[in-house]
Amino acid sequence: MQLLGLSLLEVLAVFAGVGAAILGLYFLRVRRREILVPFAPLFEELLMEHQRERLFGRLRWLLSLLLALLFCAALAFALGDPRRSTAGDAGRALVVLVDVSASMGSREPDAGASPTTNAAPNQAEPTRLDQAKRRLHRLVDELGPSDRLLIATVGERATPRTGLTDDVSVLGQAIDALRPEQAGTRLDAGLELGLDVLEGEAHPEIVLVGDGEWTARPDLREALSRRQIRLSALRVGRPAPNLGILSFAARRLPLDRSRAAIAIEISATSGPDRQADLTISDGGHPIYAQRLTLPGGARLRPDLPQLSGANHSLEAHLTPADGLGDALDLDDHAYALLPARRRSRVLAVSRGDLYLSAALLLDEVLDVSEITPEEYATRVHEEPGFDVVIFDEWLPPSAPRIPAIYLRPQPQAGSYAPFEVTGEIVSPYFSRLDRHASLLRFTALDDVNIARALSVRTQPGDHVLGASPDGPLLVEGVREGAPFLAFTFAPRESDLVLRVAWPILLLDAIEGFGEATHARLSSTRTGTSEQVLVPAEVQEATLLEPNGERLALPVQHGVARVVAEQVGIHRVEFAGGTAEIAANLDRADETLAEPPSTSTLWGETLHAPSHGRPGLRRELWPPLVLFALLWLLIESFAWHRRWTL
Amino acid sequence: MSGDTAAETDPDALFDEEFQRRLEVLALVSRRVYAGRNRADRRSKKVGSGIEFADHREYAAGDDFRAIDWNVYQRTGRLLVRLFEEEEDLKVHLLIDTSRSMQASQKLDYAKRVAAALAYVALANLDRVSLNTLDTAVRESLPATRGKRRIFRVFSFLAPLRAAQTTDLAAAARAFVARQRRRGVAILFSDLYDPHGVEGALDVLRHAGFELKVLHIVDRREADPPLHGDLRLVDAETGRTRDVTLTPRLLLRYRELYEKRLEQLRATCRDKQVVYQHLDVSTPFDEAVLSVLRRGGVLG
Repeated sequence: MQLLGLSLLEVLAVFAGVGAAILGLYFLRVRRREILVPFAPLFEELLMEHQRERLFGRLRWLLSLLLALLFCAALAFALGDPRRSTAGDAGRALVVLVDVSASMGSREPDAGASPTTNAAPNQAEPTRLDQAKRRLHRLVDELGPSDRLLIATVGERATPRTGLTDDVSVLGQAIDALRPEQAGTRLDAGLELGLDVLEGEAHPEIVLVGDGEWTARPDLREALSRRQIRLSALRVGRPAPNLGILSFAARRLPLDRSRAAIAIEISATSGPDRQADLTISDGGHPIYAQRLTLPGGARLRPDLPQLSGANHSLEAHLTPADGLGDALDLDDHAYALLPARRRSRVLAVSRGDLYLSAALLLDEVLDVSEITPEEYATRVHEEPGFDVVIFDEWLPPSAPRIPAIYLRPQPQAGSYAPFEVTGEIVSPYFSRLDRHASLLRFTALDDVNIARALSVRTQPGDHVLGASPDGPLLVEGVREGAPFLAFTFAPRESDLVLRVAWPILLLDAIEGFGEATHARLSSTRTGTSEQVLVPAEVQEATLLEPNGERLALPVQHGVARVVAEQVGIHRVEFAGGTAEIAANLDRADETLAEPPSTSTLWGETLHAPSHGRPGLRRELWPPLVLFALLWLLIESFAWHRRWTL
Repeated sequence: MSGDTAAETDPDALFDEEFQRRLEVLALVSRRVYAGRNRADRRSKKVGSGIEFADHREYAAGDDFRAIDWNVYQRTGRLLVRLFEEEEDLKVHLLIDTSRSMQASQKLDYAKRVAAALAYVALANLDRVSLNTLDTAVRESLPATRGKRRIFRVFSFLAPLRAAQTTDLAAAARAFVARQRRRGVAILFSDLYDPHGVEGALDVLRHAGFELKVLHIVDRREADPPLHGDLRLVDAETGRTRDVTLTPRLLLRYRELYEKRLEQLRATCRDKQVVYQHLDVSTPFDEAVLSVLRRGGVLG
């Protein structure tokens, strides 16, 4: 027996208090009404005859008092919400993993409609998660007396919403509180949670509730099998027509920063060709619109013109134009940020490099100051506030506190060195390039000829963007809290300076530093963690989410970590500045989710959950309260009928 | 019960004009009831010292030998006693129990009305009427009076009467007998709730030579009190309390005891050759008086 409500002491206190009140009432009750009679001896004669019955009546009174106290004890005990101990029972232990990914927010046409018809879903129709809630309520209602259940949501993370409990009210509240997230599904985390929770439990079972085909790491299958954990599924949802934006990005053109290049990918679920209107807005004002035709089930990357006049935040909106409906609204919007067209101040420390000067001159928004190494100390001290510093085959005496570009960082005596130089590489070439690095977009460095380069030893955390078989050629990283990009070779000792990639690479690096300091890349996926650089002295920051909610952000060593959980523009506010992050759903498996007819995992069909053993629920307070009410009824009836003598 | 005891009747309303009109009717009716009887029948029937022969009757043990009519014995062989009419009017003593138990259920008011009615009938028939109130002693008295017009003195005596004392009818009867020189008809109005018993009072009056008639004033509600549950009974006369829990079964048993007590009182009076008449307060007083006159021979 265990008490889930009031503690034993509290139950005893309630019983003592109410019991004292009942005793008082009982003694008050026996204070008799005074009646004037003309001739009391008549009654005395009567009472002498009934002396024995009066004694019995006294006993009845005591019995009535005892039963009233028992009534009080039952109620006090019921307040404690006593439960029969389940130690000796062997009920099921269920972990229900509910898919709360974005696709669970899809609305479907009426269930009576044929699944082959692509009827437009009504906004009043329930979402797949609503259907899942109904199934979950039914599952909870069918729990056996010894069964316990834990509800966890599975999105980008697995989050338990209840403990392993048999309290149907707790489970019901958790079910009602479920909301779809704006991210994908990572079942691995959910299964790991289930494995942990069901460790050592009798009759363990994991129930998957969702709309998609499940995928998880193969090793989890072995773990489930080893622990004899049954895996079952409740499938919700039916195929529904949907179209959405799979990805959306924008960047300013390096050589014309007033114009922006747009990359967008859209798709539609399988079925007939779809027609949709794509609108791109800047700050709420449409700047581009186009009607697109999407083949059913295909992905489309339309060629969009370079947009002029794009200012800062862009929103792409896809609207069905064929009346076939759209199950999921969330993927119809996508957002991207363009870096602000601010004038960056660049300090070039060089003994004279025409190729460097020429490249810097290509960007009219750069404010370039060229100085000799001898002028460096004085200039930096007298005129702080540069955004980027370029060290051309020369290194300063100490690490700069601002983003830096190093060209052949050969340390001299008494100078600072970002790397340990171990030697020299003769005629290196790019044998390995990180093609996913944003800095290397729009460039082709495979066949760059280089005369020589420094052989350097990178530090942990450095990111080698390009390397020859003998060592790194292009490295980015952070030193003393400031990012840097290092060419281990002198560009003028290569044919890179003769290529258009040189100014692009250089200006992109400068722009990238500016974005890292003042903004983010154009967009990111919901649910992923992003870093926002803030001044080192900043201790706290606030995240303003697209729905208007504010969250405090942890800040450590000048970095605020942000997990954008909603589609839209997230704004990070901190002392002395702000930063923005555009987050999109950006998941084809959510946009194109078409619930299968059966649930499968690792190629195996998942069956419906097992059934609980029938029997009484373990809550004891209902019978106790019933007993109390029954006794109240009997006592009241007996009292008014004067059964007590 | 307690509510009835609290009710006070307006003395003026007790003998109002309507009451007096009904008394007139009652007086006329009473004459018809007694029509055909001799006037002497309503005078003293005891063998007195008068000179006017009244009648004969069979000799009974204890009769004065001197009253035996030897002439008749000589002629018929029967022992008959000559009866002479007393040379005095019939005296009617109305004895009203004014103990506190009479206050309950307006028994005292009812007794007052019936007493007033009987007094009126008696006065109308030229009898002498006296009134006395009894509790533990003779509390108040109205000396014997005669004549119909004296009825207002009777009203004035009866109207302010209040119940105030406990009951000891035997002691009160002894006090009454001690102060009465002339015997006559004694009519006792009482609920007979006497913790000492009523036999003593009956014997005192009877042995003193009064022709005793008992009008037992009862309230049927006392036989079936609307009580239930845990109660503290307070005796109206003594103030003594008694805790009791009344149940339907107990009330049934109480009713049986009540009826048994009534029967015992009736039997006691019968045994003592005392006229007993049971009067329920729910019975209209004039109807009760006629009943008394017809069945009980109270004034006959």
